[in-house]
This record gives sequence, C-alpha cells and structure tokens, in this order.
Amino acid sequence: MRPADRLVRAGLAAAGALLLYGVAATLPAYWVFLATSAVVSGVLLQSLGVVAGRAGLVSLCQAAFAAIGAWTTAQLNVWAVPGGLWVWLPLAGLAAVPLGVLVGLPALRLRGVHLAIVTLGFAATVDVVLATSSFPGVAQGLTVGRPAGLAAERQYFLFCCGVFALVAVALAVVGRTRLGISWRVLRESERATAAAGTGVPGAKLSAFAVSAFVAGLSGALLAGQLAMVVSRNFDPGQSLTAYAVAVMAGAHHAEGALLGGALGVLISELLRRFEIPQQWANVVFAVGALQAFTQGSGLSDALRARLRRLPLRRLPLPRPSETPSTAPSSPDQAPLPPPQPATALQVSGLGVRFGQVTALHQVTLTVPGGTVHGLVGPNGAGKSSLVDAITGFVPCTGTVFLSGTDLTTAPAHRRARAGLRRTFQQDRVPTTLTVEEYLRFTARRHLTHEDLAEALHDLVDLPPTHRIEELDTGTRRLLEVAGALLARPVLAVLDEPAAGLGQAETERLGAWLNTAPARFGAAVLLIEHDLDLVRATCERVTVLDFGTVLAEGPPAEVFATPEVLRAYLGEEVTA
Amino acid sequence: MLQGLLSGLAAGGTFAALGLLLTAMYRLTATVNLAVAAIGVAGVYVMAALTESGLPYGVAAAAGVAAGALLSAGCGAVMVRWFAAGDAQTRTAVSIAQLIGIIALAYILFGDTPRVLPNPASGAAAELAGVVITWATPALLALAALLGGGTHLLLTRTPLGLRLRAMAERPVTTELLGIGTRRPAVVLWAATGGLAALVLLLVAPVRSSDILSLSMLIVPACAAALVGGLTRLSGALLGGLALGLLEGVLAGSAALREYRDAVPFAAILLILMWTRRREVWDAAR
Repeated sequence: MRPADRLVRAGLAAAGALLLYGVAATLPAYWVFLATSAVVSGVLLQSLGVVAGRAGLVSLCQAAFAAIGAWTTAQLNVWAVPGGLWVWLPLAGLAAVPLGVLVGLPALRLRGVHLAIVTLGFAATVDVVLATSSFPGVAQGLTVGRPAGLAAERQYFLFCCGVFALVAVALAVVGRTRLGISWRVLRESERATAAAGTGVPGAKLSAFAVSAFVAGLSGALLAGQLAMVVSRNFDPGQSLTAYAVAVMAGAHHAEGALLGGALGVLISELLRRFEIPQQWANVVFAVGALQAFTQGSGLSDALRARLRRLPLRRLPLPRPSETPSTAPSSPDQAPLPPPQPATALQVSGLGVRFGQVTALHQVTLTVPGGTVHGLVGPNGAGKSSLVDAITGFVPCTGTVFLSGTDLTTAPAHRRARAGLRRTFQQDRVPTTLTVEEYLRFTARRHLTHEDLAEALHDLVDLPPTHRIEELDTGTRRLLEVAGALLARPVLAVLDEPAAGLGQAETERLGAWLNTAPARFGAAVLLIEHDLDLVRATCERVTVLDFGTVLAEGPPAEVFATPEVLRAYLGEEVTA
Repeated sequence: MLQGLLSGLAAGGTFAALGLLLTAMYRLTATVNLAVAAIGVAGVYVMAALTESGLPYGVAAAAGVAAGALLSAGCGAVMVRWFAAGDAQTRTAVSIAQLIGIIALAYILFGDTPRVLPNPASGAAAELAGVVITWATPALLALAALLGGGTHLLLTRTPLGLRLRAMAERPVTTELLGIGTRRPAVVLWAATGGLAALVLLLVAPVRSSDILSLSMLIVPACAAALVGGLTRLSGALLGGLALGLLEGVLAGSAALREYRDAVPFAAILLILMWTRRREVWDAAR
C-alpha cells in the first residue's frame, strides 16, 4: 500500500471513530439502542460474509452459531465468571468454533444444494434443542449483566462498534493472506485450490471455524444488549433472513455487512412508525436478495464498482511493458533457480480404472530434469486421466516419484507443495483475484514486482493490479501457465495450454516454454493437440493410445513411426 | 413400538410426498425448491380464511389448492425469467429468498395467531393396537404413491418429461434446439404448488398450525429426497416413509421425544456422508 493510501485510511478511521462517538453522545437513547442492534446484526452478517460471501459455501445456520455464543455468555453469567463481557465475548466466539468445524465436516463432501439442506437441518436441530432446554439463567430470571464501563447503552453501543471494527480489520488482514485468498479460490474451484498447494479441507474448515467464531461474537453481543435471550432470537427463520440480507448487501465487505445491519433496523423501524406489519421487512429482503442474484453481486460490490469508476486520485499504474528496466535484460543477475534433478518425474506401472473401464494400463513415463517433454494422443487416449493420476486428483495403482521422492500416496495439495504443479484444460483461474494476488497465491513464495514482470513480460502484457474477471479466456490460460512455473516446481504439467489460443499467442507460448526450464528451474510435461507446438518445444515425446504407451522418443522419430501415424493421425500405412 | 410405527405412518406419507415433489422438481427444473412446503402452507391458510368467511370446506380447499398452484407458478415464472441459465446452487438460493418472502407474506395476510384448521379426514379409518388411524393416513400414503408413480410415468414415458429433463440439464442448448420450455416449466411449478397445498391440507390440521413450523416440514422432506440422492423417486418414497416411522417410534419414547426432529436428521447426515464419501472434488474432472 502506498503511504498516501495509508494516510487516507487512517484519516477515514479516525473520522469514523469521531462520528460514532458523536452519534453515541447526541442521539436519543432509543436510537442508540437501534444503532446497537444494527451493529450487532452487522457482526452476524460479517460471519456470513466469510463462509458464504468469500468461500462460496451456503450456510443457513448462522443464527445457530450465534445461539451457541449467546448460550455460552448466559452460562458464564450464571457462573459469574470474572472479567464480565470483556472475557465472555471471546469465550463465546471460541465456544461456537467446534460447532462450526462440525458443520464444516460434511462440507468436505457435500456442496451446493446438499450443503444448503444440511445446514438448514442443523439450524432446525439446534432450534429444537434450544427450545426444549431454555437459556441458562432464564428460568431463575437472571439477566446477563454488563461490567462497569459498558453498563450505559451509549457505552455498550461504542463497545459493539469496536467489536465490529476489530472483526472487519481482522477479516481484511486475513483476506490478504494465503488463508483469505484460499477461501476466494475455493469459491471458484476446489481443484484449483489444491493445485496451488493449499489443502481443500483446511480451507473449508477454517472458513467455517472463523465464521462460527464471528457469529458466536454476535450472539454474545446480543445477549449483552438484550440482557435475556430466548430461542426465538435464533430460530431457523433468522438464519434464512440473515442469508438473504447478506446476499442483498454483499456482506463479504465490511461496509456491506454494516449496510445490511442498518437496513434491517431502519426498515423495521419505518414499518413500526407507519404501523405496517413487521414481516414486510422480510419481503423487502427477499426481493432484495432476488435482485442481487440477478445481478450476481450485492450492494457493497455495486458501491465499490461505482467508486472505482470515479475519476478520483487515479494515478497511472506502472505497467511492466513500459518499464523495460525491470525486465530481465541481464538474466545472470536474477537469483538462480534451484539445481535441476537428473530425473524430474518417474512414473512406473501406473493404472487407473473407472469402474469396469480401464483408462490407463501399465503406463511408464520418465521426464528428465530441465526439459520439456510432450505427451500426445487422440481424444480419449487417457492423457487427462494420466495428468489427474500423476498430480493426485484420481486414485491409481503404480508409483509416482518426483526427483526421487515417492509421492504415490500423497494428496494433491502435498504433491503441489513438493513441486509437482499442474494447469487445467478448463478455465479454473479464480476471477475475483487480481493478477498479482493470483500469482502470489500459486507461487507460494515471495515475489517482487520484478519477478512478476520477468515471468510475464514476453508471455502476456498485463498490469499486476488487473482483475482476472476482466481478462479473456486465452489470457487467463497463459496466466495459469505462468503461475504454475512461477512456483519454481520440479515439474509443471500443462494440460492443453494452447487450446483456444490464437496462432500468435501459441507461438509466443512456444518460445516462452523453450526458455522456461532455464528460467524457472523446472521440467515441463506438455499435453497438447497442437503438434507444431510440440515439435517446437519438446525434446522427447510420449504417445498414448487406449490407455497405454504407444511410442516414446524425439518428436521427429516418433511422429514417423507407422503405429503413431495410424493411431493418432488416422493415416493408413501403405508400406 | 407398533403404536409408534402406526402413528408415524401419516408423517411418513407427508415426508414421502413432499420428498417426491422435491425430487421431481430437482430432476425437471434443476432446483431444490426449499419453498415447496411454505407454498403448501399458503394454500392451507387461504382455505382456512375462506372457511371462516362461511364457504363450504370443499370449495375453500379447492381455492387453497388453486392458490398454492398460482403462488408456485409465480415462483416458477421468476425462476425461468431470470435464472433459466443459473446452476442448481443459485436456483436453490433463489428459492430460499422465495421461502422467506412467502413466510413473511403469509404472516402479513393471515396473522401469527394459530387457528383451528378444519380437518377433512378426521374420521377413524381403522383402529389397530389401540391406535386410531384417521383417514388422513391412507390418504397421504395414497397421495405419495400416486405422486411417485405419476412422476415416474411423466419422466420416462412422455415427450413433455423428456423436454423438461433436457431443459433441467442444459437449458440453453434446449432453447437453441427450438424447444420452448418456459411455459411447460411454469405449468410444472404450478402443478407442484397445487400438490404441495393438497399434502399440507391433509397434514396441517394434525401437526401444527404455525406458519414457520409447517414451512420447516421442508427439512424432513429434504432428508427424504436426499435418501434418493435428489434423483431417485423410489429412494425419496422409502426414505420419507422410514423417516416418518422413525419419528413415530421416537415420539413414543419419553426420553427421546423432545429430540425426535433431530435424530432423523443426524441419521440422514450419516447416510449422506457415507454415500458421498468419494465425492472428493467439486467437479468431475
């Protein structure tokens, strides 16, 4: 971040704090209470922003997590645990975490509609349990007490604002770390997450755990605000409404969560003033959520998009193509890539079966270090199955060794971390990241702007701040290839990188691939239908047909053998 | 035990019928319509309002079914108008928004005081092991069986079923083939809404008359549909019946009565986790 930006942010934060203080000091008590409600539900919406907004996992049980937080607070109050809300609040958040992980466990196998159903069922179950066993202290008429300094409504309002701001800042900081970026990648593709060396289970469970923690905080805040909570405060209807509001407001941004909370309170207050039934608020949220679904984004995204279009303080961004001084004019000054092993990849006796179908049988493949090796074959020959098997996305028999290390039983993300990277035939580059965020995420190592410029300068002309959703498919493809090699793997497996590229782009890719082993210290296994590209880049090539190796050798020799001509090129052998 | 099983039959028929509606809608419209029970509830309340104003039950019930159909057609129209090309997750999320809206509108129109709902099938059909079985039980079971059979025939034997299946899997391709699918889709939504109202008319008087808790019948209905993986009608039918019987048995046990709604859910979760244990990745390749 530039110093000017930092100054602006600090100024905004100070102005916000001052404004809040003014609000708390001047507003009538009733409005302070309402504002507190808005902030508390804003915290709940932030929790949805993590799991649903960022990680894309449908969660219809956030109110249940909040209920755990409120229940814990009430119990700590009954026990008269010292420290008051200052201590109870984090404890309440922590108490919700195991539940979050518990709900996250099914999410490892269930997604989309199944996950929606399971989380809704979980909300209903927690509701049943809470309705039968009332909150601690309620039976004795014991209210949740506030410690000194938080007793007045105005003080409590500021306290809630502080918690909201803390959560917002923490989430913003986490959002820039590997963990936060992994949630956003997960939203688009689990396979892409694992291929970048990040475990999918960890990403999912952490999203649920963090989300449950934040929801638990909101439950504790609510318990402190109302002094006595009942199960109705957390019924499944609340979870559903929170989901709709989070979608409508775009709760993955802090301002969206705050906006959602404020809208909820404002609408319900307006309805009360005009003596209209409160339920109309939910109708508004339902329509708002439908509107957000048709747009594909919520209010906060729309706001940010509008701000981005404003001509405010738009400094020209340094483009790598305009700053040739950073390009590797002197490659010997660049840090040397790690030494290359004699054998990058050694696959022996590899077999893959899908039920009764044998996709691959006894495949043996060796890729020497520092070379580009081709893998070709007609459609259905088993090329993509081989890629999936080598990189750990499909169970297989046989052995896979990467520079002498046995990776046969390692899961996909561990293979990626060990230096076995891959790209996908499908477009799996996460669209919500910027070019720079994506490359840093896949590379898993510190990258300077020079590193980025060096990797991209003769492949794609892209400013690092560019958002991936604005790129065309061909550019994304090249970016994915660059990301895989920037990780400096032992071996990068590129699955049809030239598919969908134009002639000029393909030639540029070929030239770039030729220099890749020397620049990144990586061997390349290139799966490709474009035989010109294979001839131009590969030292050796393996031909696959019907799941077995048909031929192996230098391209010129292999493409001249009669079996290959017959099987792959479909030509009749006349000799 | 036997008493519990017998008293669980009606619930089993309900879960099976709603589960079948969910399964049929998932296969034909690629939507897990979480609002389907709420639509039925709306039909029940229209019926209740009309009987209170003096209309005979038959007319009021027919109007309730029509209201359910109309409401569901409205939801379906929104779905085909704006979310025809959306994936199942988006369409299901849209149905969540519709669920919230429907529940809220039902509270606005009919108030939140529980009302006494007329029961068309309160007469005793039989008495077994000391349990009086009202006509609602065989009616619900027959309805579930009819729904299962009818949907099976629609899916496998009719050109309309083929079109709708094509539309559910590849909406854009189907449109490009010149097959107009929007009107049949809305008609299908209307039909499921009417049927949901019919199921709820039978079950609401004996279960509860609270709008939210009736709408939450969607949870066991989803569980039933999940037994069939959201695609197999037989699984939804048997799953619904099994869930109902389990609920009946648990209701008979003093220790577990309070948690009878939670136990079947846990069972379903385990079944789901087991059947989908190999679904390691989000996309097939």
